[in-house]
Amino acid sequence: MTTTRSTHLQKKGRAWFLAAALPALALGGFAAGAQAQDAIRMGVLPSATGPGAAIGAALTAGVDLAVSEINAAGGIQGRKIEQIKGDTQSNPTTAAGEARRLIDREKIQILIGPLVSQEAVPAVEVATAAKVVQITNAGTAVLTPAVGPYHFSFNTSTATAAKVIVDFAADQLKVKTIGILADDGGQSKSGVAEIKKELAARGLTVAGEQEYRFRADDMSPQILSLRRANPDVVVFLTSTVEDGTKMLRTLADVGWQPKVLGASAMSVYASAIARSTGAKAFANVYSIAYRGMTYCASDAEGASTYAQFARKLERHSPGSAGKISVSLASEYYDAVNLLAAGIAATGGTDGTKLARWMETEGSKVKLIHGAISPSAESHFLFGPAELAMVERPNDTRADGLMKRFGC
Amino acid sequence: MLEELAFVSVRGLGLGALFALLALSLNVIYQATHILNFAQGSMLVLGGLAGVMLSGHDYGTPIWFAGMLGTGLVMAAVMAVQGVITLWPLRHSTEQQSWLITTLAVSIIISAVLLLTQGPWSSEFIGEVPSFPVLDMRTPLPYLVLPLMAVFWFVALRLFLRRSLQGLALSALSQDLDAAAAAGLHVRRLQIAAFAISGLITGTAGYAAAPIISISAESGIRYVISGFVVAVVGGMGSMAGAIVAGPLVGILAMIATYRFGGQYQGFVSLIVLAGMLFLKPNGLFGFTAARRV
Repeated sequence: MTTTRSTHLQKKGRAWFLAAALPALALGGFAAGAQAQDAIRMGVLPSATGPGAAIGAALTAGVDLAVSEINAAGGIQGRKIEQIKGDTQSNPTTAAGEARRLIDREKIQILIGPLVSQEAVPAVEVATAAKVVQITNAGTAVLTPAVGPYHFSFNTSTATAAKVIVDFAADQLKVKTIGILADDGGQSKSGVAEIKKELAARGLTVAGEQEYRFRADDMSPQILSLRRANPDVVVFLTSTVEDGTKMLRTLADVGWQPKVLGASAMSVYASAIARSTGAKAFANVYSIAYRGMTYCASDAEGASTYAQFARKLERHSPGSAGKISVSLASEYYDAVNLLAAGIAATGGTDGTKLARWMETEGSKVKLIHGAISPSAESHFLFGPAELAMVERPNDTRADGLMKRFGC
Repeated sequence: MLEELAFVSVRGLGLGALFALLALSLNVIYQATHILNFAQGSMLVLGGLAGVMLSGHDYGTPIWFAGMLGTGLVMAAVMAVQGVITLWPLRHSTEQQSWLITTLAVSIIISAVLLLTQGPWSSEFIGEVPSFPVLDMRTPLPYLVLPLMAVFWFVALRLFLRRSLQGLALSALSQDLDAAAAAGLHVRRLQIAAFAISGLITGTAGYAAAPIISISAESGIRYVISGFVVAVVGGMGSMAGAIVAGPLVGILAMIATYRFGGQYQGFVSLIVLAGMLFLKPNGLFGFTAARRV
């Protein structure tokens, strides 16, 4: 009888033990699973439709590639990145609404986009109120660290670009008068204002200034008006391949071949423009480029991280090869990797900590574009040291790099 | 300066002729149905896309003409289908405004299809565009072709609407739909034919203008607005008005841009529109309720 009772007690004990252990095991498993599933929610806000859709495609491609690589490697400290996508529809009002939806409803923790200044400015207001770190491509000088303490731009400020352009015109080309031709977008208007400030500071004269509508049908009145003003050089600000093509074709039509100084978009789109205009159209064209996209004669071909990225992008997005701006895609690839480094370093996505880290430690992260220089005073990731002038930006080496001027 | 003014005027004439062609095609539909087709700009872009697809192959002029004719016929068929869709809800009452939604919907659908198939990038005309001399400068050939095409379609439409039975029947529709139906005309068939004729004009115009227009998912709305402005300035439904107003608006916009700056380019056409509505609400050649048939 004792044996039977003892066996019964043992069985009862085992049953109680199992009854207690199983939930504990289940809870432990659930916690482990929850931690593994606690993804980092990253909002991605390109202009997927509307006039800015082409550059939106570049943002998406760069982000997709970076996220797939990070997740394949195990994520950020075991946490995978989950993309939650929006679409600004190339509209500032929609951009603000989408930012609000991503932050309030989708509970994103970090935000990439929008791209351009007129969409970024209203979205930054929303992200700042929610203390969400955000990376855009906005070049407007309005977005200071005071206005957007959690906003960083993978761009140079229009003021910096303007200084580089004007210094090049004055010191290298030795010109005295400048003509300006720019589109009617927010970033270009900001750029024109900064260029005029720099010209005044260097004692150069604005011989003529003209504006054209984004995706203009005809630029001949603007170009003839500038020709009449007879500037030594024309500064040309554009946002699209189409407008760059139209401008260079019209110069050829009217038989006027001034020196043309372009902003970074001219470098980015040069190959695509040359497919329609021919290489001859670029004979007198100079433009700003990021140093990481340029080479000197002594630099080995194919060795740069930019060239390697271009090949990776082609493999990742084969359908869009030759159409997506590799330069723009590389900026957003870098943006994701920069944020990933910051999240790993700070242990999370807390906006204040992450922004502070970006300001103080962000410059130490190895990126495709080489060095960046954020600071508490400027959240533009590219300063003057990261910029270079190139001549004939369409004339790229096999690895896609442009030759630096004077090098 | 006079040379430059003459040059921009030639360019303005070319662009204005494109807007005139759009206005002609809008008027053909308007006369038969009293519908403003918001998808007209997108149809122009489709015609332009056909022109781009055939570019870069150096086919020669006969093939170019054949391509234009083919594009016109295809767009005629496409717009006939659009006509069926647009007119179907109106079969019981012509007082409905459903055409506002259906024509806009077609425009949005075409934009979405272009975005999905062509991507967000604008389609560029590849290769050398033939040009002709204007004073000591050059201008792409479409700036000459488009005015000639506008005159051709104006004359062709005039002859068709006044000399042929079908054309006279279409003109009757513009007077009184109910009376035309009571007189035994096949109103719906004639209206769909109007859509097809409009497609023929728009398709050939887009094809010819391919080297100089913006061919992308979102550019259709811009062109339909330009065509609409010209149609209203010329007089809604008036073919003569369209052929005069188009070049007028085009040249004025280009001269204003040359003299005062590019920020006035779009502004000028709207000023002309507002001024016309204020001074002569029926447009240059518009008139109220006069019977012509």
